[in-house]
Amino acid sequence: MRSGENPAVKSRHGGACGHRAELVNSLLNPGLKRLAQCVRIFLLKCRDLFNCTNTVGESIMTTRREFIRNAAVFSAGAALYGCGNPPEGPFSKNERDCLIAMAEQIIPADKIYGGATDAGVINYIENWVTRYWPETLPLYKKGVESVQRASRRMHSKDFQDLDFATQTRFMEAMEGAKLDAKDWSISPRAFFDEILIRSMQGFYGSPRHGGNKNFMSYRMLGMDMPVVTGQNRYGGNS
Amino acid sequence: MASEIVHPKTEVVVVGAGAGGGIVAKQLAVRGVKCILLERGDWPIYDENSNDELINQRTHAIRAIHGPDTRKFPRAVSDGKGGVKAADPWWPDHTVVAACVGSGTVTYGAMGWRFMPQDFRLKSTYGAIEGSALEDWPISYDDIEPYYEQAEYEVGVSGDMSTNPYAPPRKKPFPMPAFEYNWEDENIVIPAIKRLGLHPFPIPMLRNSVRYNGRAACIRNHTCCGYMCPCDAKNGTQNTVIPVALKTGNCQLRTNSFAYEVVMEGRRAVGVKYFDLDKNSHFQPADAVVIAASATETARLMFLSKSKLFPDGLGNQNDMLGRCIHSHIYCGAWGLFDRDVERELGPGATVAFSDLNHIPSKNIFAGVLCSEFYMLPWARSKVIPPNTPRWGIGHKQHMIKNYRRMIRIVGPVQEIPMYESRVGIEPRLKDWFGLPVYRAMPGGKKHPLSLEQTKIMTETAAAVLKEAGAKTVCKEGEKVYLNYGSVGGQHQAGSCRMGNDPKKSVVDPQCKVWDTDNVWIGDGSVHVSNGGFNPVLTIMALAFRTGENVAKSLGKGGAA
Repeated sequence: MRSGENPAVKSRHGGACGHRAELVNSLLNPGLKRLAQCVRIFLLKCRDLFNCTNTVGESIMTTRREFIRNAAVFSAGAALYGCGNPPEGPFSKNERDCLIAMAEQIIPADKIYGGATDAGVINYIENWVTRYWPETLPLYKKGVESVQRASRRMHSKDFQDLDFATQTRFMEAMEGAKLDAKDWSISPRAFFDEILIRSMQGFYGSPRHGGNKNFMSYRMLGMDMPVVTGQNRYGGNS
Repeated sequence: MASEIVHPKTEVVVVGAGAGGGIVAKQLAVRGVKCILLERGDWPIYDENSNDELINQRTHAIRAIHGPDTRKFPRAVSDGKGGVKAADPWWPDHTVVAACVGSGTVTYGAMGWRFMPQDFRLKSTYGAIEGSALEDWPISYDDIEPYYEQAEYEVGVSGDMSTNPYAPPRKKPFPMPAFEYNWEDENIVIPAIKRLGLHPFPIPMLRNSVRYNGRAACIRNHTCCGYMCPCDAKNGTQNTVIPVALKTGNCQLRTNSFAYEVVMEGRRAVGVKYFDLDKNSHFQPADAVVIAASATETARLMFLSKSKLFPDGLGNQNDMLGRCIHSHIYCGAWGLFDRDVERELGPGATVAFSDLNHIPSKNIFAGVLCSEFYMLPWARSKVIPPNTPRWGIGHKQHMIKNYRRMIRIVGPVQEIPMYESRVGIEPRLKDWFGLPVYRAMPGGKKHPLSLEQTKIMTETAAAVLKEAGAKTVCKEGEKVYLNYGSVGGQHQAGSCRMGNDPKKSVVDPQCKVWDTDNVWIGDGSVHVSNGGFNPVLTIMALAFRTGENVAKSLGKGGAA
């Protein structure tokens, strides 16, 4: 979102993207659009509040159809979460924070564009280990455990609590397999590669999977997306 | 499992509704032959498509959109301890061919190449190659030329070979004009190709450059190769020949039907057994059977079809079934420019040059080099030029700065078939139906000469990019493939090779399985070698021919 609102981005790449978004938005009833925006913001807030990995809140509210779909999910979701118990994710808070910090190392935020944390790469990773390839969850559990063990022994802190530069050096050592083997129950290089590929997919892949929030990386690259010709629809199935 | 459902007899069962099977069914149906077309998948639906880089048929980072479901239908690989395990689905060697009506022709990049006459005569042009299973095809370019023409007209190819001096001879022009070049190809790549004395020309495409066959012209979408077409301008069997077959009333398409045995009585096939989605077993009796399930799956079905006369699998009486599977080594180079060069018009891949396909005097039989299809950001993020970090702020800055500054030239290298590269079945690992799965047999490897050809292609691609003004050129090539043995991939071919000698082949020159009266093969399995081109038009042309042969064998050989 930060990238989308940045004036520098608009002036450089705003042309085609902005025009298409306006075109689509102008087709919507303004009242409906405002309502849709409210719902979307509320959904995002719900997600943050409950640590929820549901990807529905991520999608851009652009069409009537999508609005109706999300409205239905919203009411179902409100009923589900009404009791106030946050849903169980695959990771503990500590594990989650560690993975967020590692992904941010792969794609850090800069002065203009958001990074892995802003793009919600962690949502993609959570989808990966729950919905797409649950077989890989043990790898993540062992990997994070090893990272924390090594980090605590070397720096007396969890990985996410290290300063950015120390984290970078740690990641470089992981990539080069230059860490003390006794801390590791899996290969540090294999776990690094796993985080690398999943972070890149979460940041540069389609927002349908939880990352690349609001097409953040597409906007960063100035891509002319989504295509609105032919049979293309916003969303598709998920 | 409930008791078997037995259907009324039909004339022909065709297994697989892809590039080959769809065409065979059409050839039969228009000649008045009653046929049943079995397809393991379903009709592809555009709304299931998503312009999603992580779920499509090309990268399948999460999964392939049109299947097969790799969890239900795993591939076996060695676990390094003497046993086997299911391959990771994103394993590059996974040999996924789409499981839907139309199969790969729904989502392919749609290059519609004819092989060159020399591609059918590799052994006699270049001499025997030691340590390989290289043979000439039992048929020549002239035998297949009329069927190439039929494929170009009935499926639909846009092209113009007037600037390609190596173009294979043709009797009729293409049915549609060629696509125009993309800006970067016309202004940057082509002048460089010409300055090097090479001969650029537009890539023939199984895609409508103008309205054709009642469907619209291409709208230059980004997400083309790997995706369904948003305006149905890409020509596959699902929107051309299969509807024609169904319209005759002679062909019935059964989706979600997974064939698992060709039932033999002596030399004759009497029908095909298949599972539906509820795992019910069906038996479809027939007078003839055509298998067109892709090079890996056709061989697997034949291994599973054991009978008294064929105890080691149908067509395996001389231990040839599944052998010589090969595909293409893909190689080329990326060029990084110091200014924006890409104008983002999809689908990319507009120019090619065929200079490296056949130079007998230099022993070069590499392949065609083309510009690349449009690649979305994740795929692009994996391209790391020298001195660029793989991750971190440096990588992000590289992406922002260079996203439009890269051009790729790439192509398929003619691979030399190897006797040891073989499709096998692995009884220790079962699929969802409880059938032994496909395994690339150990011992398969690339011939050193294939890797040499790869090097020539890579160097030439790099030279073109350098000449075009690229500041950095990164070559991609032979190293990646060194460890791969029996790759399949989407260009998989050769597992049931065609030949004059029953001892050295699986099917005869008419594509009928040796020692059978009525079993035919209608896909790329029969290729003796796979050319230096994308093979789909050759698969299609052979299927037109095989369909005609099958109809003739049933006494209905008249023209359609």
